[in-house]
Order: sequence, then structure tokens, then C-alpha cells
Amino acid sequence: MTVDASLAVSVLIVEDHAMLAEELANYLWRAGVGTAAVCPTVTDDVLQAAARHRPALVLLDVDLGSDDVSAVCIVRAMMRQGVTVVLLTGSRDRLALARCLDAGACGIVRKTAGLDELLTAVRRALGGEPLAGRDERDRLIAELRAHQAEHQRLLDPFAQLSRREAAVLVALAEGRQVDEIATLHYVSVTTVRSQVRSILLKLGVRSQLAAVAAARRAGWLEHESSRAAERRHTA
Amino acid sequence: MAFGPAQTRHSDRRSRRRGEAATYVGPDRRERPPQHVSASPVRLVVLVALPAVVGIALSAVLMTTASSARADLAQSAVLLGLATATAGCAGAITFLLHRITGRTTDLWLAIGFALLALCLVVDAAGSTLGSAEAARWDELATALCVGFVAFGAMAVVGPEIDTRSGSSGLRRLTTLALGMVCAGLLVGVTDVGTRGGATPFVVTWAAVGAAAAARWRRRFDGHSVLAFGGFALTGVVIGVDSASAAGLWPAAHVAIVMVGASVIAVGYHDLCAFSETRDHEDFSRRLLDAAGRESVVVAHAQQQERDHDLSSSLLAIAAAMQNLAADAAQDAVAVQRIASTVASESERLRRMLSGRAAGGSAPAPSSSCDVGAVLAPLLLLERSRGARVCAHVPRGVTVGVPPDVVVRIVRTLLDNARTHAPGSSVELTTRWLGARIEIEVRDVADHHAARRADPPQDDPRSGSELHGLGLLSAQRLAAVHGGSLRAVRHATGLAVTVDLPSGAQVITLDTLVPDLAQA
Repeated sequence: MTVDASLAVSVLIVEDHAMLAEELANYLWRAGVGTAAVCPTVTDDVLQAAARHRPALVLLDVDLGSDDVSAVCIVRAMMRQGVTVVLLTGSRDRLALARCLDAGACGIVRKTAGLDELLTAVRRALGGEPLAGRDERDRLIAELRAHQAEHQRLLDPFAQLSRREAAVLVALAEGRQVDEIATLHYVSVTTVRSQVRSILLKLGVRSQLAAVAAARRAGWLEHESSRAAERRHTA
Repeated sequence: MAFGPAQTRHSDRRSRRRGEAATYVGPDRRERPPQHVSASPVRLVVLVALPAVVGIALSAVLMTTASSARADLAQSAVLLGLATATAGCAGAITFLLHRITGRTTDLWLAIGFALLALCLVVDAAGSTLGSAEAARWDELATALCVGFVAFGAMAVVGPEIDTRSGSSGLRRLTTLALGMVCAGLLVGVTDVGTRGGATPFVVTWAAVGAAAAARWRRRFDGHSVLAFGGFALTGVVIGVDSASAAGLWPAAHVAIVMVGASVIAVGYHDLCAFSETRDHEDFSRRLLDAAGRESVVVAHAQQQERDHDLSSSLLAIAAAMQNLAADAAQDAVAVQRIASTVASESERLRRMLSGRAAGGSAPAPSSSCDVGAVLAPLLLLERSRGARVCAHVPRGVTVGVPPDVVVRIVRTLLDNARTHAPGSSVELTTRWLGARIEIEVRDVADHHAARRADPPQDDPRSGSELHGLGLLSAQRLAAVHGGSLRAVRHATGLAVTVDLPSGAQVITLDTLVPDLAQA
């Protein structure tokens, strides 16, 4: 991490590529923009750096190379602190970009753009001016909405599951047998069988395998694990 | 003329077995898509136990009334009913098999059993008439029985004709002509045989023997033996019937029961094999589809990652160079630091770009490995399991694919050899052919095992197109890494050869742009 002592830090670069983070921070510093950089391994690294430097702008790489660092969570956290977020990315994952924009990021600067363009975008963002590319932003958000609607349609049947049934389905997806689940949940095997029957009925499938396949196809398992992670994070 | 997709699929499947391109020669009722069936225990009871119980009951009755069966018309009537029921039951079940599997072979068997039932009715009816009339009716009954044998023989020979002719129209014509000639010949000879003794027996035996030989060449197994034995015994009975006019009924009915049970055994076995083969093919197809979809997802993810890395590295180098140019008065340490980071990043870029250029659409070899060193632990493991593996793998032969891929491919081939050629020894040979490396896994059967092994046209592993999940997955794995896989049948067994790129030469700027290097 490189921190300039003479200038107040106004930009925080969040980037997994260490050399890029360092050289970009040096470049912005030479351009008169006080900049710090962080290469996070977990989301909390970014929150701690933001708390320490109190930047006005975060240049955020969407793909941070680790499942433990969530760009969307960082954007939301920065929004809560009133920090502007600009996505600095080489990723072509439109959904990932759209999720960050939807969470509050104000624009995108491609890594393939020149340094001058990057500097201009930083200055505009710091000045509170809108970034170019509103059309692309709107298109990405529209794609995200369509994707979310389709995803929600697949997830709807799973909303009928109770928390205990959801836990049973997750355990089935992990390959556990009914008796194992009963031991895990401190209930009888009969109770678990009853819950499994209820799951099959609510999902409209005829076997445990089909239920697990439906959950995986709908992305419910990832959805459930991210919800659990969010619950843990909130707690 | 239009052909449905189901017909296309079945024709394709047969063509693949022969290792030929798929051709469509005409519609065939046999080609209709089969209904979904499974080999359940209940079906086993229905198909095998029912005629067996009827046959055992019949045999018990026959054993107690053997000597007086012909003399006593009442007993003959009882026997007639039981025998007709047995033949009819066998015919109905065989026809059911035909409806399930859609195969003409089963239809022929059903017709044969219908003729047999008719034969019994005619023979019993003849026995109620005077001696002069009875002789004519006996001849008619014998002709019907011969027809049964002819149809049975056709049912056995049919698949062989099917394989050899390759044309459904020609096959039907050939089968019909052969069946008619065979039946006519046997009926004619039977007429002679009524005066000459054992001639029908000899001819019938020859026909059944030919069928047996034809089927034997394809596959030697228990249910074929049962079928041949049943048909042959029927031929013996016909010969005995012609040679001597008395004491026929017990032997005839025992023969009928045996034929019924054996044909049901054949039908059930084929039904199970049919069902398993179809399930296996469906599973293989689904698995390969899933693997294809997964590979697309993986390739997309790899592309994303490469794009991300490339853009990050390029932007980092651009920023570093900008920083270097912006302040020429930097101290030597700072300049050295920037130069060092730019050099390392450039090297990283070079590796990424050379990998992309070499790979084309397929991923480039990510590493090289020494085949001998990689396979040594695997060979030890195989030998510890009791496998006889003779390896000719010199050290120092490098292959341009990751070591885990080499191990997975060779392990699949060794497993394949162990499964399909149990008891055989396996030869593992590595050949260095310049830019390519060949790894050959050949199973070497001893004489007895070689005879039992499937002949070339029936070996699911042979042919230009591979069958079986193991070989297909190995082929796919090799293809993903720029290689190929082929299987060739030899006199002693199957040889599967994997062709892989040899260890990648290190690409430097000098080799890419020699002029620049000289400058």
C-alpha cells in the first residue's frame, strides 16, 4: 500500500493486482490526486482501509480474485458511508458489473481505457459530475432486471419452503442421508422424512434427486448460501 | 420418402457398430422407436416362470402317460390342450417382446410358435382319424413343425444377415427367400424321410447347426446354447417322428417345453441387454452433453480471467512507464524498482500471450511432464492390484500436457483393458515421434481368452468410432489438450493409442522474431 502523506487521500484504489494498484496510486498522486491503494483478501480489508483514509472516491475492481471479497458488498458499504464508487474493471461479466451499478456505483472505467481517460473520470467523479456511458449503465441495469426476473421465477417455488425444510434441502444437496440429517437437526428420522415429503410436494418433484437438481438449476443453493453469509455478516 | 428421427437414430447406431457412415435405405417397421421397458423381476416371472411351470406340469403328465398317450384319445386331448397352451403362451410372450423391442427377430419366433401350436392341433386331429387319413395329417403337422424350426432358425440367423447386408430392404428379401427355401426344402425332404428314415433329422440338424454357427461367430454365451439346443432337439424329434411312427408324444412335448423355455430365456436376455444398452447410451449422451456445456462455461471463465489479467497488466505497465517518464530525476532505486516490475509484468504478459497463441480455440498446454516419471506410480499401483502390465516407457520423454491429464487418460485405458479383457496382460508403450508422443495401451489375451473375446465386428470398443464411456471420456480429454485417441483391433487384443503433443518448446523472443534478435 502506498499512501501520500502530503495530500489528503481522496481516492482509494481497491485492486487485486498489486503492481497495478501501486503504479496507479503513484500516477494519481503525481497528477495531484491523493490516493491510497488496498489489495484486499477479505471484504473487511476494504472497510478498514476506507475507515482509515476516509476517501471521497473508491476505484473498485469488480473481479477481486477471491470469493471472500464481494464487490457488491463493498459498493453497498461505501454507499452507506456516502463514498462515490467508480468501477475500474477489465471484466466482461455484464451481470457482475450491473449488480455493482445497481448497488450504487456511479460508473465504469475500463482498464483498456487510457490513463488520461481514467484521470478525467476520477476528477469528474470527485467533482460530483456524472460519468459518461449512461446508456451502457441503463442497458446493464435492464439486463440485470430481466435476469433477476427469470431467476426469481425459478426461485419462487423455493420461497414456500420453511426454514427447516430449506435446511433439509441444503443437507440433501450436500449428499447427506435422512438419518444423518435427523442426527444433525436433533429430530427423528420420521420428522425428516415428513419434511422431505413436504419439500417434494412444494417443489412439484417426485424424488430427492429431482429436488436437489431443481435447486441447483435455479441457483437456489448459491442464493441460500449467500443469504446465510449475509445473515452471519449482519450478526 | 420421409424417414423419422427415431429411424435415423437406430440406423445410425447400427452403422456405428459396423464402423461405417450412416446410410438410410428405406423405412422398416423394425426401426420404430421402442417403448420404454425395464427388466423388472415381475417381468422375469411372467416371461420365464409361467411357461416353465406349464412345461413342468406337462412333463409330469407325459411321464406318467407316455406309453398310452396315442392310444387313449382322451389323454391325447388333455395333452393337446396343455401343449397348445405352452406353445401359445411362448408365442404370445415372444410377440409381446416384439411389441416392446420392435425387432423382427421376435416376430419370427412368435410366428414359429403359432405354427407349432397349429402343428399340435393338426397332429392331434389326425390321430382321431383312420390310419390312412392320419398319415396325411401327420405330414401336414410335420410340415408345420418344420416351419417352426425354419422361423426359429431365421430368428437366430437374422441379426447376422442384418449385420452383413447393411440394407433393410435386401435383408428382408434375403430373409424371406431363405426362410421359404429352407422350409420348402425341409418339407420336401420330410416327405422323402417318411420313407427314408433319418434324412429329415440330418437336414434339420444341419439347418440349426448353420444358424448356431452364424450366431456363435457373433457371441458365445449361455442363452444362445439354450436356443440352439432347443431347436436342435426339435429337429431330432422330427427325425424320430419320421423314422418311427410310435412313442412320439412324450419326446415331442418335452422338446416343445424346452424350446419354449429356451426361447423365452433368449428373449428375456435380449430384452435386458436392449434396455441396458439404451440406458447406457442415454447416460453417456447426457454426460457428454453436460461435459460439453461445462467445458463451454469453463472456457468462458478462462477467457474472462485472461481478459482481466491482460487488461490489468497492460494498465499497470502503462502507469509505471508514465510514472517513470513523469519524473526523470527519480533516484536510481525508484527507477530500478519500476524497471523490475515492468520486466516481470512483461514476462507474465508474454506467457499469457504465448499460451493463447499456441492454443487457438483449445487451451494451450499448461505444462509438460515426463511420461515415465508420471506413470511410474500408476504402474506400481496397477501391479499391486494384480494387473499384468508390461511397460516400455523410457524416461526423458516429455509430453506437453499436465501430468494429471496423462495419468487420467492412461488410467482410463488400463481400466478399460481390465474390464473388457479380464485376465489379459497389458502392454504400455511410449513412442517419441518428434513433435508428437504416442502412448499405446494394448491388451494381449492368451489363446483361450482371445477366443472368448468379442470378434471384431461385435467388439464395442473397436471401429473408427469409439463406444463406451471410458474411451469416449479419454478421447475427449486427449482432444481438449490437442491430442487424439484411436483404437485398433489386433489378433491378440485391442490396442488403444493416444497421440499427444510433445513437451512444448520454450518460446522466446529470439525464436519468434529472429531478425529482431540479431539486430
